[in-house]
Amino acid sequence: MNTPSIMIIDDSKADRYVLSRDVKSLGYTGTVFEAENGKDALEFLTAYEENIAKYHDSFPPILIFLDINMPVMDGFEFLDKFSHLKLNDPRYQSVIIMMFTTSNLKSDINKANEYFVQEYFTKGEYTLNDLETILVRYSLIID
Amino acid sequence: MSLITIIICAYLSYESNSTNRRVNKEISILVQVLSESGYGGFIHNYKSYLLLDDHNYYTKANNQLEDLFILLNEVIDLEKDEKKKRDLNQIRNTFKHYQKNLEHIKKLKNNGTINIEKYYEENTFHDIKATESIEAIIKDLLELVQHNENLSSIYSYAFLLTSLSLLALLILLTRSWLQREQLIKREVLDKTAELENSNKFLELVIENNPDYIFVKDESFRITMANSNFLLMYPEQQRNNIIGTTTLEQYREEEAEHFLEMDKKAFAEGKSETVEKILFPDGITRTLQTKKIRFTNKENKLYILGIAKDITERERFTSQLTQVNDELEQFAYRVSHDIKSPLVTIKGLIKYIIQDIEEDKYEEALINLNIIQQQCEQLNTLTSDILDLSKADHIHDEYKSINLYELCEEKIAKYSFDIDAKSIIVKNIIPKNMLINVQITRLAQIIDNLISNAIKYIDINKEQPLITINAESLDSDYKLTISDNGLGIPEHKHKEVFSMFKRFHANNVSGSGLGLAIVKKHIEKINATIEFLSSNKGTTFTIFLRKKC
Repeated sequence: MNTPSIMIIDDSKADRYVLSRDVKSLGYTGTVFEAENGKDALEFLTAYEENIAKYHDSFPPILIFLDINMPVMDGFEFLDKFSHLKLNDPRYQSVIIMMFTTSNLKSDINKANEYFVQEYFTKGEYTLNDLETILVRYSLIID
Repeated sequence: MSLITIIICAYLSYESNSTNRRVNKEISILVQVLSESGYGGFIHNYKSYLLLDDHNYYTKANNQLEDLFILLNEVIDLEKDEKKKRDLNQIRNTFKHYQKNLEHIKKLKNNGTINIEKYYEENTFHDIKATESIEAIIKDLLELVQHNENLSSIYSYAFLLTSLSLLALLILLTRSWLQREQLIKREVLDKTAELENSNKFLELVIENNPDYIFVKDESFRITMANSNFLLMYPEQQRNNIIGTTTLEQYREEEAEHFLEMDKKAFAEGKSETVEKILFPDGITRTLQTKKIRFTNKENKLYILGIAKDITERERFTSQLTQVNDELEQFAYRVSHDIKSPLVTIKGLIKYIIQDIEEDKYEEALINLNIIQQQCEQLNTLTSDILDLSKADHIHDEYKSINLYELCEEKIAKYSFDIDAKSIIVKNIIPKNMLINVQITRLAQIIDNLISNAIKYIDINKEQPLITINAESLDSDYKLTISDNGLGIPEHKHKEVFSMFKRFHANNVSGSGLGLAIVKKHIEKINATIEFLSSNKGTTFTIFLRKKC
């Protein structure tokens, strides 16, 4: 059986902390991978063999929470690169991307929709119930 | 009229009395004089000759003059009364005057130089007096005849009175014709003057209009242009523009566009376009050009072109659009950067309360510290926004300052961080260097650059180092602030001075506005800034003008 895992890509350590406590408070018990920018996240995700050895079937994560405004490599640059990987490597096909950002700009939402982004959460505006629905949807917690 | 004259003459010659015969003859001649000169007679032909180009009037007038002189000479010979003789001579002189004028008109007409209005104004003389003299003489003579028995017959008297009334009517008609003619003349003169004034006014408007105004014919040649239009051509060409298309002076695509718009106006009645054109004077202008078709009195087609120079307007519009976009971007980033820490704080507080309730004080304390950092970040952001907006409005006086000491002050401000990160800061500016600058702006520039050098230090390097130096060049002071820090990634070099740009992770304390503030101050003090950056470090160099 697959052990579920999630990943949070966000430059704010505090935001990563709050989100991981949120998911845990909803009963999620799996692994939470963290990266502080797109570049680090991409490096982690592409090191497939290494991470399989380390995390076994918890890798790759089922759901990625992705911030937009980050230094070094922002969320969209990450999407660009990761979508390429997702298209060409079947091992990443099941990865779900969920935007997790302060931006509620229509242009950002539209841009995100051009990729394979399934969900869009605006920081500070979602409730624990909203988050629970998402976690249930992807079988990360049992309803 | 001549029928009446013949009847009068026939009747009068019938009389036998010699005095009466003489007087009657005199009356008969004078009536002929009036007849020859009045309406349909000499004066009529004289005026017609003056107004119309018909030589027949001259011939008629001249023949009638000759007849008049014969008649007048005859009546002067017959007249015994000295006063009447003098009056008759006066009348003859009036006709001599007319004769002289008639010849003068003929001469002017032959030369083709006659200005009728002018001639009429200058050469009109009072012939009314002469006409009145004739009437008075006839009246006198008639009274003389009235006393004569042979003529006392009531019929002949009545007959004569009738003739006289007809004569008076004739004179009245002549006068009213002359008056009417004069009125028309005056009206023509008035209208001509009015038209001239309107033309002058129109010319004034066209000449002084800031727009470019021109007229083109169907061969696209310029047939008229105002000074403003001609000024777009080099001085030596300006006299040769009218009558040419000038198309060869423009780039091919521009000339094609002119022609296209000309043709459209000729075909559809008007055309309108906004065009950016490089003119023969070397200036590129953006024009809003309207072309309107019209016909002249010979029914030839033309187009009137009116072009408004909207270069400045377009420039302002594009600047305004850019500023608007920047402002929108700025507002978005500010609200994002304010919202972010607040959202984090909100999320943390939720768990701090939970932790305290569960007696997990250590975790709560860690999170409270994070909240404190977030508050500091908010504080930095709002201060920087204020600095940035103030940068536009600071009224900063030029002062002579010691640059070394200014940098020492800034180094002292950051001594806590410098010590904590074990950074060596070398201030090697000559200690006696005095420069004349806008102190507030320069202080903020140096503050931001030193603060960045500290913030982006490379912990992997053996010894973090910041060096500040300055030297006096011919026309500038050159100030350099170098570090051996992380450097700015090469692909981000273009964005260095843009707002809200941060290029390194782990350094979340900045607002991303520091270098935007620096850039604004640099622009305001008319200085320049450049930088060199690699993973070995970064050097910012500022050139401050010596004379401002």
